[in-house]
Amino acid sequence: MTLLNCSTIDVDAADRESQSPKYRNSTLNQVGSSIPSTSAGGYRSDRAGRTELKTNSIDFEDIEVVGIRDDDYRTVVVDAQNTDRHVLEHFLGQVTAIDGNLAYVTLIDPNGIEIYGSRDAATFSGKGILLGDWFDCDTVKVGLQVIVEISRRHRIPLPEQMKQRMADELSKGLEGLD
Amino acid sequence: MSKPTPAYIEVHVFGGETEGECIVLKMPDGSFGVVDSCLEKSADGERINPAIAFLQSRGVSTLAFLCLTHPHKDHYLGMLSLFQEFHPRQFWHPAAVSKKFLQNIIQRTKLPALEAGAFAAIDAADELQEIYFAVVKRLNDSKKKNGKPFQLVRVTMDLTKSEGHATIRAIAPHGNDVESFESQLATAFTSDGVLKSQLPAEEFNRISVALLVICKQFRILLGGDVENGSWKLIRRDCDEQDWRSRLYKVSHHGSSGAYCSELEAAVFLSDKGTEAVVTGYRKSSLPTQEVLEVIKTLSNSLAITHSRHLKPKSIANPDESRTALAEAFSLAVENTTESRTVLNAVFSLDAKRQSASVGQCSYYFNKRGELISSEVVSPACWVK
Repeated sequence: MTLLNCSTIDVDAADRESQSPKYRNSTLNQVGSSIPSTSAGGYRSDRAGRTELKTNSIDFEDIEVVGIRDDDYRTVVVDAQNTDRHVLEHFLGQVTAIDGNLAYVTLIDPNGIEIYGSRDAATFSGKGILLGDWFDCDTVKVGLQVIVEISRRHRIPLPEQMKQRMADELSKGLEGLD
Repeated sequence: MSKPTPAYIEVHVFGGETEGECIVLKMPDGSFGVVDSCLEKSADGERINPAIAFLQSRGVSTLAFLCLTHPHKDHYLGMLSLFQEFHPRQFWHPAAVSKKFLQNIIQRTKLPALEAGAFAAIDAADELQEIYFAVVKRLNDSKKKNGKPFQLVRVTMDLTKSEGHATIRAIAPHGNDVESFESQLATAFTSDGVLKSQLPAEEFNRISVALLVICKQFRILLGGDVENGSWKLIRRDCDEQDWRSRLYKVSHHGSSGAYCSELEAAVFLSDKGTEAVVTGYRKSSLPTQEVLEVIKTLSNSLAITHSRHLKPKSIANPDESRTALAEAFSLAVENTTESRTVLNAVFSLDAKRQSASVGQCSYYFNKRGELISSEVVSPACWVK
């Protein structure tokens, strides 16, 4: 199979609506089962060595196809029921810099190894992923194709009490600094 | 590395494969100072600060000064261990760094990362917090006279310090940059002191310290991460106008913003008598080829702390997942032999860890400013 240029392929709203039922994040567990135990890059492991993302689940509506490996370009509507769909790798990503139209990103694999790359900034801004924001990035095998999916990482708000405790600790530790 | 003929002044620049820089200065009186800090993976995967082993090998127990040019992690990671191990008598940092500033950047880094479960980012913010906790503790102990003398120095343009029989003059940050940064900081808080917005991280370079080490017959310029706009300001307004240097640590990892034409005449000696050294920043593909070309033509030699910064970003051992990733994020793919791929898989080797990940560029000058010797320790290399 020849690898062609990856270009952003937006799944339009109508397509998203047609993707039902809602897809929950089971594919992340598929890849997690083969990942060694580590605490790096946003992962936590259980005693059996299975690794799961410590985050809330991701709705399928948030997942858009940004790259496709195929003989021609076309919008790929990924069928959640498709048993041929396998997440090959999962990365935690962050937009670390934006220079003009180019976004520089860091991808962290489950072992904490960082990979640096760049892509047009519009790919990210279109998904509400701005400078400094975190995102999920999966390489997914669908049939014979391998695609790259990017989705904004959901944030679970910290309890106010915890925020306050962090602020207090910081304020106390810096007491004496102008 | 063999010990060269005793030098009047020594400069050792360390830098990693991905990012970071740490500059060790041996001053004319034999004291040592360190500017910035970096942390990189050693061959066995440990995170180390290369300056620590170097200073220990030289029998150093105390630093005359430790300087943080600006609070970006590629300049402060590993600084806590330097601070704890070598008890600097002075800690220099940019004038704009205040309690409010630190509260802003630490909280605003940690909170989103915690909420997103991005634990790798929290470690860096934690280290900055711990560095300043240690600095403040030393400061408070010193004030109470129950600790060693310690001075916290807020650096701004034209600050001059006599250190180790030389003079160190700050040529950046410019007061205008500090003021505008402080105004921006004020807007990040409500009147009740509650954080409401985040300071843009890229703005931190505006408050970066740059230092001119002035010996009787020559100078050394450490450019920090000063960028174009700031260079123009400080070139215009700095009281010290003689910046012509025997050694120039290129500012901001050789980005296009790090170089402006004003610097050409200001920094480089006319007889190509300037040695230049650059540290990389892989995330933003720095240094740029264009800046390297310009610096090369102006200097006697140009060294880089890690040869990998001269190569395009790439992914080793590509499988179908990594190949797709390379395509999506403009990465080159490194082909690896079948044997090596099997070896990597069997022994869980990461290609990056098969070689040292911190390079070192060292310069030894005599009293007249003549270069006695210079050397690069792999993976650092000369840029030809």
